[in-house]
Amino acid sequence: MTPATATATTRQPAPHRWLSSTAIRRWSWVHKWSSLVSTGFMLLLCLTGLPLLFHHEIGHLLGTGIEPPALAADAPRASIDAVLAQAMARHPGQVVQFYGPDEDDDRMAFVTLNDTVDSAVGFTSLMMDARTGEALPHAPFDEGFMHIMFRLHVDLFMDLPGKLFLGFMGFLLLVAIVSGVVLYAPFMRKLAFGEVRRDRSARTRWLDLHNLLGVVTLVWAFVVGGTGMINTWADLVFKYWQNDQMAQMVAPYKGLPPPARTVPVQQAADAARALLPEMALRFIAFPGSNFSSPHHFAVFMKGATPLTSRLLQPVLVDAETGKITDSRPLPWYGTALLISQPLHFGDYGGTPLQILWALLDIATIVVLGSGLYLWLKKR
Amino acid sequence: MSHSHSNIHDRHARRRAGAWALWRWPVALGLLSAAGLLAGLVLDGWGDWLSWIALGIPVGVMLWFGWPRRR
Repeated sequence: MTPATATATTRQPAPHRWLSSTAIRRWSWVHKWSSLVSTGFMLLLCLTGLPLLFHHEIGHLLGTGIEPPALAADAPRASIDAVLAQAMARHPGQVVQFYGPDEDDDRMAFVTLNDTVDSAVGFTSLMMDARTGEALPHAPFDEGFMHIMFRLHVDLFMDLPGKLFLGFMGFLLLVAIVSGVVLYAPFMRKLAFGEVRRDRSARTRWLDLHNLLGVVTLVWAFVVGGTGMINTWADLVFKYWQNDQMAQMVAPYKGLPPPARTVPVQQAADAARALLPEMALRFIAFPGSNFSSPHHFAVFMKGATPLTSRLLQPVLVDAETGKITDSRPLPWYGTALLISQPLHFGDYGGTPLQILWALLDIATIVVLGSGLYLWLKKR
Repeated sequence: MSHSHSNIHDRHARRRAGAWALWRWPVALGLLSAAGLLAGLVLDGWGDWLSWIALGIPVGVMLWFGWPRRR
């Protein structure tokens, strides 16, 4: 919005006590261009994010959610190795990369297999019954409506470059939010908070609505946009962590041949549990896989409180001896990344929080749409 | 307008009053949102309720002022 070209009172933020007219013009330029460049992608992210908020519920509705068969509630869990044996039997020639209990339902566990242990593409994902070790039937994870929504939201089907691109769009959103807050003052100077001039032109109404919804969603949009941007760096952050702390922890093994034989996986998991009894297993990365070293089971443990359950602490277990090599809490950048996940997903406060997330998401769509409308109307 | 000493004081006072009128609700709702975002993450038990209330109020404010109504 460039006040220099303004005609009607609706678009005329008069030179202001806090902002000179030059400053207003510059901030308007920043707001216009950061918004214009990112708005199309932000609309896409808001629209695809809406079903992703409710992916569990939608999975149930579509029947693509996985349900383990009913057994006695106290049915014992099979050993991890028994589960893995059945998974490998279904996919001969493939090796296990990752194993972990399902986050929401510990009667199930996921197993990720691949042709080679260090491969980062072409995963075979299985969901296993953690009690019987049998594979549970499920629709393919990499197709269908929700998968399309997911890829459009995360990387536009372009892997890391797509993620980083969307991350940059997220950065532009943050710029648009900050510049929008600066411009709120000159535009709202003569209006009461929340005032929407309904008796005026459509453009005035939408301007007032844009300012109202924009300033009220401000903190939420900034947090969700900022954490979304941080999430796009997840691959890079983990790469950095591997070259930093992981490399330090496994330095004594440098140059050694890979283990000739490995201990049972259950033994590695039990060793980690004994070391960190107050924590629970999140997932295990197998020797040679992307999250481990060639010599270790990396057993990732999570805490028990709402906050610490989002954090991870790796326990490196020597795959040949079953003895613990090292375990360190994640450094600040790993913690920052993991904390930004729930703040982006809105999945830490039950259904009411999901619904609030959805309403704030819809309000953001209105802010984006009205901003676009205001720009079109002025041209 | 004369630029006497007292006038400058008046202007400062008016500027403060203007800023207060302009920003008190956005700031209050922003703090409430931030508290809501953190409460559910950091606090056990009551945290969820706090986050629903603290984030619900800004949503309610938007609906109250923004919902289309007949003139």
